[in-house]
Amino acid sequence: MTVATLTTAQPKRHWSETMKNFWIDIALFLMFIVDMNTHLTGIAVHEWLGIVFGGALVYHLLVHWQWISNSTRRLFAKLPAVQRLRYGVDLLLFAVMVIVVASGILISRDALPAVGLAIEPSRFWSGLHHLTSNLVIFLVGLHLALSWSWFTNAWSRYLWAPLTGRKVAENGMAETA
Amino acid sequence: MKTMSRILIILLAALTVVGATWVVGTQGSSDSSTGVEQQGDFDGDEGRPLPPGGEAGFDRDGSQFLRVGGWLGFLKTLVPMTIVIAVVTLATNLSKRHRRAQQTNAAIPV
Repeated sequence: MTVATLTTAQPKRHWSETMKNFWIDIALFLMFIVDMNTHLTGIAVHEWLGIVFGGALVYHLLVHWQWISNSTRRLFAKLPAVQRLRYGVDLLLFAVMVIVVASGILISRDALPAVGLAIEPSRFWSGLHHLTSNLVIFLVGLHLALSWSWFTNAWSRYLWAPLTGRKVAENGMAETA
Repeated sequence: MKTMSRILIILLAALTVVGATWVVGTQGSSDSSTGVEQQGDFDGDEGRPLPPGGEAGFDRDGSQFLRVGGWLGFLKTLVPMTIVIAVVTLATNLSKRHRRAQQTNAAIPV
């Protein structure tokens, strides 16, 4: 009897795909911002967070796999110019992000030695890490900007609306309850 | 199984990028070119690479946590990103408005 009352009183909270994507993106963004500030984190946290970020990036790609495969298939056929631009930016961002993470691992001073690996330091990878970590800021900005309307809609639906008690219409615009 | 194959594809793509960069790097170093090799910061004594931003005022243990300078470091990332987002969204909105105005003009009968 008690169990039945509890199950009806507390329905299981359902997380939609968009909601999950939104919170994963927020987590990735925060991780990126914190990891870019090496002066705040210190080198050990910077390195380990960078490795975790690399894993989270793979998860981010898995979550958006449908979009990636659809866009790749339609790339040489009919694809709107904005989608084509977004695809190009995302492809470049992937390549640059991979270089940032890989070069970061290769010049690691704490993370790799901690697991018993030591790689000969290289000026090439160090220089590349500097160069690509500056470039990646602009590419992440561009990546966010090209999905800005989705992001603002998700923001008002999943964060702003619950906080202010407003309903969100289908188009994502907040309206008074 | 599907997820595993997707992960493998992602890792393979990442490996291709790193491999290509490695090839460019080793060719560059054998040619002793003046590319990105010159930009790296190294410790004087050990010759080990430094993280982005160098080591000026940098503490290995991250004790900048309690200093204002450490928190101001966020601006270095957030300001360029905000500028890019503002410029792109403004341009997108203007082009949408322009297209909508053109469609409205075309719909009005002469």
